Amino acid sequence: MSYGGPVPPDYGDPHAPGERAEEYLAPEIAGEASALPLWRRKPLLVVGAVILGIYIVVAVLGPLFVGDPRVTDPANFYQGPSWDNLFGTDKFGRDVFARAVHAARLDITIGILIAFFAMVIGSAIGVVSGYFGGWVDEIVMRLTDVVLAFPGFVLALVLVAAIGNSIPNVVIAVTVAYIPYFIRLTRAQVLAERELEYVDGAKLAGNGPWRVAFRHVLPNSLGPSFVQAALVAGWAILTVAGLAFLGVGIRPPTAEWGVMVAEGAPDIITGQWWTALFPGGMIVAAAMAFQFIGDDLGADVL
Amino acid sequence: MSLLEVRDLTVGVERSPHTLLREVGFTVEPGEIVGLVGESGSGKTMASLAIMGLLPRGIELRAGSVTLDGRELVDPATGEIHRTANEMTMIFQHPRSALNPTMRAGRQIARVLELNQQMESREARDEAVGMLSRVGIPGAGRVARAYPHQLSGGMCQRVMIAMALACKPKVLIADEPTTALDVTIQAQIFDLINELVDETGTGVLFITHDLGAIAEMCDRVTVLYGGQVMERGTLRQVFTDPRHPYTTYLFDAVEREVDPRVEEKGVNFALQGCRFGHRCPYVHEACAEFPPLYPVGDGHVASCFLHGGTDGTS
Repeated sequence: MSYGGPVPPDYGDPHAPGERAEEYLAPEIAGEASALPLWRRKPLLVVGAVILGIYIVVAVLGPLFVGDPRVTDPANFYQGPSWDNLFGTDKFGRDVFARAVHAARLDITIGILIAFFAMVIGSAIGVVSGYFGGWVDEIVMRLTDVVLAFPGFVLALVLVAAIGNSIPNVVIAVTVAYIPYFIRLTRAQVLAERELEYVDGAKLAGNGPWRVAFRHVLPNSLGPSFVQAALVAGWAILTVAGLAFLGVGIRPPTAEWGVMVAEGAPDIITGQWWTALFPGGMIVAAAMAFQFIGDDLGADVL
Repeated sequence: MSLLEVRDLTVGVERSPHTLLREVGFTVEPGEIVGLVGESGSGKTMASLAIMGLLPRGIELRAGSVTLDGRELVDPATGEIHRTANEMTMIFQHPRSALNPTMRAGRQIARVLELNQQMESREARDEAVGMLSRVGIPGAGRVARAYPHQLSGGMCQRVMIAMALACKPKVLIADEPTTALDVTIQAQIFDLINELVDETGTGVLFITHDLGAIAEMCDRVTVLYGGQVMERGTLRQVFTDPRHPYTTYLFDAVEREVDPRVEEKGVNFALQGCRFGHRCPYVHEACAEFPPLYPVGDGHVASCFLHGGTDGTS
């Protein structure tokens, strides 16, 4: 019997099994928010990601296309930027562009490695500290207090001075300086997360305490740590370059931005600005890229 | 011998005189749904957590026994409760937060099976999908691959129920399983629980503040206030012939016609006597003592001195 109104669409038998599972799936909330394109919502993130993307391409492929960063050419010292030597040459006649490109591979790798190791180790300690609490937590917290009492840079400097300044040692020293940030951050998240019902559920299911801590609580506590990792990668590049600049980190003649700035700094007074400016600019841009990414991600997660 | 028997369960705050549950007891028989009803803060959830051995930090089990099929679950040395998902399990109030947000629904169920039924991962995965279909989820395979945030609340609760029942436990504790859901989903979940109880003979402890849900679901009822059992009996006894002043007050509150002599006060967990004493219109000197459970009918008891000295039938 029709009443003449609009005919409702035929949705089929709602109880037919196996066909309408989509209706049980909640609408994608992310779909609503993405009405604006990503570059409008998060311009800094996009800028940072583009810069980082360029750096990664340069770090991976760049060294294949430029010359040897260590080849000296005494006849061609202190040449200004030109088509042959995009960033000019330094006092030994080495191509600054080739060195900067090789340094990109080293510095970007080191920055990401430090952030990765600091996050893995820091989160693991943080989840144990936060989830199990007690005297372990007390000891870990006091240790992080001690480490955080030093500026990260000074701590890294002391450590490198103590264990020697090879590249792996620099990575270790800077990683140690940043681990406490991840411990604190993860621990704070874990304290909130461990009270949630799914943690009780995981215990009921028969998971042991370590499994609950690492497989259930930890993955749900990592959000802020990823943001922190992006920031730490940028800071680590600055720290590594800073150590090299002071002469306690990576040593010449390695092609590394901090080393290049240190070697090029005296040249500025004598007018050869390019030997320090280009690697310095690359440090700033890399650190900014990570900072942009971290800041914009953090707005959502933190 | 009852399937689940809880006796004299007493739970308190560490290093404090406050007792959150005082001598709470009830039984659950196979295939029976027993209600635990009370207002917010009455200790319903605390009771379920205590029975499951999930008391939060700073809360201790002071006394009591929990027996399952006659076997004592409370370790007398440590006061900890030993149970496995094969015997007793629980569904939670907030279905979404009761599932791990970073694990696929099917994986969470499969994991329970692996841990408790010694299943291989492939077998457990298939069984998990089977469980999801059994709790009335169409397209179970797809839901098994979904993360909890992709599922609706009612769907999450079904996943939770599938997870709880995966190991065919003897006792299921349902802590306000539908409070976070709307009424149509509530009806579906109730039907589902009823069906599963009929099918498997699982005993259910059904915890809620909703008297309507109790009336619909339960065979027997325990009324809790301030961590004290106020009254216990069959659904009919408690609903048609409430014998404790608090139970009367609770039913009146539904009608919004409460005894004006009942004062509006919060629960006082430090009280030595009857927990309802500071609000009760019939309070007298005896109420400064903790009242025992007086029989007021066949299997019907009330924790009130008004019934002391009677022969148990009036």
